[in-house]
Order: sequence, then C-alpha cells, then structure tokens
Amino acid sequence: MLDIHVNKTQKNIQYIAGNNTPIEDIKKIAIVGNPNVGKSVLFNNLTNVYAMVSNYPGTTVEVSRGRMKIGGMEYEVIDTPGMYSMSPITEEESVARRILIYENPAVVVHVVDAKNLERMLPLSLQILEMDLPLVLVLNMMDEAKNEGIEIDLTLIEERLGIPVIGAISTAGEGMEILKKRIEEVARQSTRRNDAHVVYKSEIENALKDIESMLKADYSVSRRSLGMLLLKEDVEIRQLIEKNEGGAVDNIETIMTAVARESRYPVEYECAIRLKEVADSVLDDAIIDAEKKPQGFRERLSHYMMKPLTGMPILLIILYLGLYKFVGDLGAGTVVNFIEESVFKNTINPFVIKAVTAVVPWVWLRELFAGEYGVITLGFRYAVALILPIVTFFFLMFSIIEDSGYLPRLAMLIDRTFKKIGLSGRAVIPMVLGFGCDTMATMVTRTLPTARERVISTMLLALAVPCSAQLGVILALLAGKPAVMAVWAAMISFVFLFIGYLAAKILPGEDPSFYMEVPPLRLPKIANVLTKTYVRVKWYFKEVLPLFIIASVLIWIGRITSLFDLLIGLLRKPVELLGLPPETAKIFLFGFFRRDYGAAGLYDMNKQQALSGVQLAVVCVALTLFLPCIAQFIMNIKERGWKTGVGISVVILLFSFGIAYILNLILSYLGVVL
Amino acid sequence: MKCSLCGYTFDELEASSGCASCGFSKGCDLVRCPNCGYEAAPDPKWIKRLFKKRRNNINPMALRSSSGVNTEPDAPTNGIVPLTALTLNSKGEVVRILTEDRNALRKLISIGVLPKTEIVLMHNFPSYVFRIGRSVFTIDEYLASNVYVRAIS
Repeated sequence: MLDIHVNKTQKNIQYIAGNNTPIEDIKKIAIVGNPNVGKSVLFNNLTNVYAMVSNYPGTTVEVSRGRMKIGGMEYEVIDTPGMYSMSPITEEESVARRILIYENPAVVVHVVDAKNLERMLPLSLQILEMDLPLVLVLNMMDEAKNEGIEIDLTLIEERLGIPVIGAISTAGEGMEILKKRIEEVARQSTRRNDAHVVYKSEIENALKDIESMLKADYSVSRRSLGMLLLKEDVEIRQLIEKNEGGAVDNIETIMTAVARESRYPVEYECAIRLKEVADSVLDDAIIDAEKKPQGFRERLSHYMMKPLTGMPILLIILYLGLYKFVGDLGAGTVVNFIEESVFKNTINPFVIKAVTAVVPWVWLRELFAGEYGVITLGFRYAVALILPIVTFFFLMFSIIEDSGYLPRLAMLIDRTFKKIGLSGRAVIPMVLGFGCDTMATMVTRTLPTARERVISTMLLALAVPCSAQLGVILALLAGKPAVMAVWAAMISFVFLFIGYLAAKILPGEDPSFYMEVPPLRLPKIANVLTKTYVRVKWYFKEVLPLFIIASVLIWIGRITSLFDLLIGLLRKPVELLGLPPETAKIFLFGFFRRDYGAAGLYDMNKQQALSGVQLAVVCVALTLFLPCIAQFIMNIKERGWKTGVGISVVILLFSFGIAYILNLILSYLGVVL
Repeated sequence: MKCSLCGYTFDELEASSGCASCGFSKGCDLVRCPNCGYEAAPDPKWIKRLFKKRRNNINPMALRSSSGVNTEPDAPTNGIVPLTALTLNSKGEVVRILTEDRNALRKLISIGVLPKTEIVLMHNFPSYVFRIGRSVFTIDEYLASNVYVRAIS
C-alpha cells in the first residue's frame, strides 16, 4: 500500500534520485500486473543485489530497476507500479503504461494471481494487442491449489501462443523456468500471437482507418494506440498530436463517428469483449472448486467491516495500538527512561562540564550547552523525545498496514469522509499523519484527484497532530481528563468543520471510492521491522538537521535580540488568548517543529505555570498552529507555491481564531478545568 | 417496456441513456425510446405487477447481457436491480453498467465489474463490499448504483 518509501526488497538499495538515463543496448524486461500479486518478490528473485529506485521522470512515482544475468546476457529488469488496465486512472498506472509504451521492453512479464486469473487475463490480452513479447506468470500457485483451483497451463499456453508459467515467488519456485522462457522470448525475432482480440465491426473498421493514418514510429502496435485513441485517452492523444501533426483532425472525425454509432462507450464495449475472449481462453482450462466456507480470517474480516462490530474493533485498535503502545509505552516509559537516566543524569552534565572546560566564552557555550543548546536541547529533543515516539508509531503502523486492516477501515469511514470531500482512500495518509504529517503529505499523492489532495493536505497541516506532538500533548494532559476532552472535541470539530467547508468551497467533483480489500494476514516480522527502520531513518534524517538548525536559529535570535522582537510581536495575540506571555516563545518554537513547541510546553507545565483552561487553549492553538518547517516545505513542494502558502496563512489565522473563541467561551462560562 | 410508436422493446434503465443531453432530464418521469426517441410515460407499477407473471415466462437467454455486434432489442427488466438493491450475501450476475460518468465506468471496469461477472454482495453499509472470484472489492454507493445485476439464487 505504501510502497513509496519502502521498497519491499530487503537487499541493499541504492537511491539515485532522478537518474533515469537508459543504459544503452541492454535489453529491458518489464514486470507488470495488478497490485498485490507479488511483483516485487518476483523482481527480487530475478535481480541481483543492487536495485536502483528512482522517480519516474516528471512524476512522483518510484520505479525499481535491477540487473539480471541469463546465459551470459545481462538484462535490465523493471518493477512497474501496479496497474489494473491499459486505461490508467492513477498516476502509478500511467507510469506503468508509459514504461510499456516508451521503453521498448524485450520481454514483458505479466504477473497474475493464479486465484484470480479470469479477472486479470484481459490485461494480458491488452499487452498482446500492443505486440509486446509476453510471458505470463501465474503466481501464488500454492494458494490456488489450497483453494481447490486446478489450472491447465499447457492448454492456456497453446491458446495464447505465449509461455505460461506457474510460480510461487515467495518460495522461489518456477524462477528457473521463468528465466529460461524470458531468454527464449528475448532471442525470438518473430512472434506467434493467437489471441488477437477481434472487436465488433464498427470498432475494427475505425481501427484500420486510424492505423493507416499513423505514420510515425512507435514501439507498440498502431492498432493498440488506435484503440486507446478510441477510448479517448488524453495522454495517447497528446502523443499522437505531437508525432502526427496534420492527421489528428481526420482521426478526430473517426473517433466521433464511432462514439456516435456505439450505444456504449468504447472502453465498455471493449472490456466486455476482452472478458469474453479471456473466458474462452480459460474455458476448460480452469477447474474451480466452490469457495470454501468461512474461516476465522474471513469472519474477522467480516466483523471489521460491519459498523456495529467494526467501530468497537477500531476503538480497541486505537486504544491498544495508539494509546497504550505508542502513548504509554513509547511516549511514557521509554521517553522517561531516555530523558531522565540517559540525558538529564549522564549526557547533559557531561556536555555542560566539557563545554565549560573547553570554551571560554559564555555566548559560545550557550550554543552547545545552554538552555537552548544544540546538544542540550536540539539533540536531546530529537533523540530522547521524538525518536522513541516515532519509532513506536511506525512499528504499529507497519503492523496494521501489513495486516491488511487499512482498506477495511477505509470502507468503514468512506461515508463520513465523503462529507468532508474525501474518499475512504484518504484514510491512509490521515492515519499516517498521526505518525508524521510531513510523510503523510507526501503520501497524499496516492489520492486520485487534485481536490482530494488539497483538502487532505490542509487537514493534515491543520488538525492532525503528529505522533511527536500527540505524545507530548497526551503526556501533558494525562492527569487532566477534562482538558483532554475539551482538546479532543475541539480538534475533531475543526477537522470535520474545515473539511466540510473545504468540500463546499473547492471546485471539482465529489470523489468516488473503490478499493481492493486484500485478505487479512499475519504481518511478517522481518517486513515490519524493515519498513519501520526505513521510515524512522527517513524521518530522522529529515528531522535531526531541523532540530539542530532550530537550536542554532534560536541561539542567533537570542544573541541578536531578533528573537525578542518576534516574541514581542507574538505577545499581543498570545495575551488575547488569555495566556501568560511566556507562551509566545512556544509558538515561535512551534513553527520550527510543532513538537518542539509542544515539548517546550511540557517543560512549562512541569513548573505549574498554566491553569487548566490555559492548557486547553494552548494545546488547541498549538495543535492547529502552523505545521513544522519540514511540512511547510513539503506543502509547497507537493501543492505548489500558491496553494502551499495559502494553506499556511489560513492555518495561522484559523489556529489563533479558534483558540481565541475557545478561550472566550470557557472564560465566559467560568469553566474551571 | 414496449415503445408505443415504433414497437421496440427495451428496459427503462437503458432508456435513460438517451436523456443525458436533455436539460429536463432531472426529475422527469418520461421514458425515451432508445430506438426512435419517442417520449412516453412508463407503465404504472400496478400494470407491471399485473404482467409480472407473464414476463417471467420469457426465455432468460433473450436477456442480452453482453453488448457486441448484435442490436437485438433488450429483454425486460425483471429481476434486474442496481447492486444497491441486491440482497445481502446473495449472488448476482452483472448485467450492465449504466452511467454517463466515464470515470466511474473506467473504475468499475478496472476492478473487473463487467457483464456476465458473478458477484457476491458481502456488505452494503457503510460501503458496498463484494467478491468477484477470489478477490474482494469495496465501492461507494454512487459507484454501486451504476451497476445493474440479476439476482441468482
């Protein structure tokens, strides 16, 4: 689901950003197929240790490339993003198709789930339509066998005229045969293709006409391009416009004629025809037992998706996973241990002593070991406070993600999310946002429409506190259930209210929701640990420099008194909120990282400087307040200057506004929390 | 229903495809014949009920579930319901996807919801969950309302 940061390969990965120069003369092998069919495992089996992961040019989708040697020949193997059909809906699918159309693969390996061959075979037919050399791999043969499905590989091979191989990629079974077949196909110059799909006469005639008009060189068949043109594919149209110039008008005429003659859209007619052909290819080749009665997993899955039982299950997961595991254990026990025993008693005294001994100037001493010193504050916050919380969160998230629970949660929550202009799919970035909003903002790419991406970016920045912040706030409010209730109610209200407003104001269509629900499975420990490690590493690499920079900036600010000026500026609005003037400092720090501010609050609260109402107001303001610098930069990177800065300004005004109103209401009612 | 002008037999679901370009199509009770374009009022419900029995006798093979080169008229709609109306835990065969929304159509095609596909409805709230073969998918009410199925016992 979240393959953006975590390549499933557990081998060494070399990141070469943006480097996509094709290696000349080396034959390419593209692995394609639906999501969740085991493409990456197959890729790992085929390739050697070093895989390159890089963004596909002009997109944010990552593609892995590796090398493979068969019989003295070296090949480049490409692991494409999951695709359902040749008409892409998401950016991932579009990248996968581009690899097929532009990169001229010597062999295309289509991986399908043997259990769902009927549904996935039409994509094979579409690849054959492109005249690409194809090898079909039926993966997960063991699972198919367990389900009582028998498949006659030879018969399918005969009917399609291409190599068809059964494999169990997780056990490495079938890899040798696959390599042999790949080599054979790569050497072949002519291809036999028995399964050319013939469509109804109107479409066939139109295809012939378009084919004769396409004059430029393409590495896939003109027929397949014509097909995509008839399906009104924007990307292919642009390609043709670029290459053909004048002929486009004539093609246009054909397209409108076909559209007028057909009762249904061309893609619908063709999909039906493809299915017919796929069914006839598989006729007598598959013996499918009736689906077995429900096992424990299916019953559990059923209860997870039924609101009456699903909501309690969600609450249990939240309570055990988030509150107990991340909050109590991570943010409580572990943080205390590292803070108290490691830093307060060991590192800090040592650093202060060492710096005092070595550095004669007080102002320079301050930089390293002062109240806001690089080591005594910046490094301490990052290592003692943030690292354990984030590690615990990502550990939990990886377990939940690998168990297959998220799509079920998406299904449960879709109806509610529709009200705020999002679909259930957005549940993944939203949940991830509780770990790290910056990373979650990056993941909003997986949402299909720009409107959903803007709304989710906004909500992440405004009302989803990240794990570091959440950990500190939960610790702050631990002994004060009433304050916590006010805070939680306020944040939930803002989340829904702003989402609702954004959905009303932003132009564009309401999202529609569709998602595959994979079977529940026990997460593999190695996989969970790898994912956690990669994410924590990414997070730490982003965060530690920011903490250090923040410390340095604060230090500069303090000695140049620029800081006092800014704090002075913030003092007025802070007083408006009914808060002690010292909190101005927290807001300023909060901009560097929200948790940085929250941690400052933690220190202040220890000195009993805030009343219950003040604590509620400041926690609400700080949760809603501007995202940390990293997220601010990410917003601009992902959404562009205008939207990124716009979102930040709205949030700045809004966080103070809401906190102001909350303070007014609470003081007016004379509430004591 | 049968068109009173040209005698073409069609189902009312299909008829709405001719209404897309009409500005009055929302909340309009008239049915437009897909063959000749003549607008008529649909048969009242009680008449439908009256003729229900008779229609059950029609050869189910005449129910054109796939499009293709043939242009033979569509059979009546008996037993065909939107996926949203299919009984929970029952099996249905997709008869057609009926929508003007190209994106919705593409999404449904991409997950394999196509005529002649058998699906089992597993949940209908808060979203629709169904099984095709051995895969499970979830879609929202909007997408589900575009899928017409014939219940299979």
